[in-house]
Amino acid sequence: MNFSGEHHPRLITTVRAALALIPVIALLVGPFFLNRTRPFILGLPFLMFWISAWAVIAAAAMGGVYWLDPRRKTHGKDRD
Amino acid sequence: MALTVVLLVFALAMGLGLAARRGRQMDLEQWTIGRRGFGSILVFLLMAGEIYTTFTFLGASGYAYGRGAPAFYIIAYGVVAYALGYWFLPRVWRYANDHGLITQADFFAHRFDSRGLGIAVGLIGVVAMLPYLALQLEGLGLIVQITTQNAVGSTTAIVIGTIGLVFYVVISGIHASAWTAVAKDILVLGLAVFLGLYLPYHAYGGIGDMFHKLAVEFPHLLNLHDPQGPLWFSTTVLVSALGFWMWPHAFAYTFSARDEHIFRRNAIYLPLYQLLLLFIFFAGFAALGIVPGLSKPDLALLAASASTLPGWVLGLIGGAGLLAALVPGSLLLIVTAALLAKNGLALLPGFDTEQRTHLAARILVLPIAIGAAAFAIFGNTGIVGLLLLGYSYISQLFPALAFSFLSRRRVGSAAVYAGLASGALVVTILTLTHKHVVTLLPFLPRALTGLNDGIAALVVNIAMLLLVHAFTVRRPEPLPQV
Repeated sequence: MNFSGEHHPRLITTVRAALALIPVIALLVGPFFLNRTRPFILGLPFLMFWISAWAVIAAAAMGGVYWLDPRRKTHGKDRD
Repeated sequence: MALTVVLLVFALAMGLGLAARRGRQMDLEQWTIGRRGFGSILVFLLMAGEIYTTFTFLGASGYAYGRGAPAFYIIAYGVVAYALGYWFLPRVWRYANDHGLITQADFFAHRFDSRGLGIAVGLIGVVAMLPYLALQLEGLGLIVQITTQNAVGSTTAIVIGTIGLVFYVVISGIHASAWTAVAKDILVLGLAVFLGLYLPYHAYGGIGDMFHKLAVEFPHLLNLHDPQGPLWFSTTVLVSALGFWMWPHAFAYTFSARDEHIFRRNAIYLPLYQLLLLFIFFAGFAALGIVPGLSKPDLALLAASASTLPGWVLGLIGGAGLLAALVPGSLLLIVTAALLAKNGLALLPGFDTEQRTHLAARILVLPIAIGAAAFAIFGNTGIVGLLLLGYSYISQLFPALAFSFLSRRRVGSAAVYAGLASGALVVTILTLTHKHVVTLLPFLPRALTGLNDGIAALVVNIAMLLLVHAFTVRRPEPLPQV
């Protein structure tokens, strides 16, 4: 499998930007529409669940951003 | 019992801090930024040191106790800041590495080719960090006093803590911060998870049950309301995230990294680490059922713990509070001293050799620490206000830095001065008149209630920066891209 930026550089850049931006938008815009207590999810009031869930999704998304980062391949060639 | 545990933790911190020095030749670069040799874990812990400070045990849980849902802005702004850091920090690191820069003021002076700007940024940094350091020491005093149930008074704790801090900072520099950070995070996180599960269980029978009962008893605490409505939440998250990396000590731990990939990998794990603050909020909410009606909400977690837990656990909380003050405190102390020595004294004749600058920085540690401790002991009413002011000033550095990375043309120092000064002026006016943007400018719609004041200052800052940039003479040379 080859997802390297050499083959789809523009697509890769777009996907990475989207991955990084979606959690940010969810956290900045979400509270305007989802400022509510119910339903409770995993024991948490809804807004608190929303914020916590996006922290978890953001970690996964940033993992994706890193995985697709063309610079990742240069790792190991830096100075020690 | 509690006292013994606190003393053991203090001894451990001192031991780790002093051992951190072993086998290292100290110079200013080694002392301030570990000669750019820290790996992923140490950089991670120094970054995370920002999240888990004495504020965690006091302000963060107190916010949940006193105001409820707005406390979650702390989790949200961390997540936004780390995403920003993924792109921002590697560039800052690379530039500093290429040019051998040590302090944040070095960075601005070099990036904008202006020694005066370096001095100005250094001054802003020192003014912002001193109340922050004082607040950590004040928190240390409070936590130790309450957890040892007055066996150690807060003044005594502050004095002893400060002496220890000076001692290991002078000897080991940032290595002391990094080594103690390991012990601190293990202890703080262990306690956070324990308290976040135990206190809700003790008071309400579990976390889910707790929120269901709170929805009946305190329904207004479980979502956002004016003046802390969604607009407040969103703009505060944004301003805090932009300001997050602008602290002088944030530059120090950025420079301490061995390579730039460390920041990209850390950006993956830091949101999860930040999420552990949930447990601190759970403890704060549970305190509503254990010690209701506290006049000082900041004491919620400590008061709830003191009334339900045995002495040795309190001792561990006291020890964790001590470490939570020492780690960020030591970093603040090192960076303040380095800024004063490198970007102030070193410009004078007689102090301009590397060796003398380093000696000056280590000597300066003592008066800075004494000043902060005195502030913490005698001036406790104004510290939070000063810290907020410092935070607002610091975040005004963001537009200039962002433009310098985004624009291909060099941003002139005149534009940076104009932006910084006008942004800082807006912040100062709003703070001194105790007004918000909406009350000061009554023609704005009421819907803007809750708008973070920092946004207004940043807008003015950016406008002035662009305006002066457009009218100043363009320099022919392009800025080296990083």
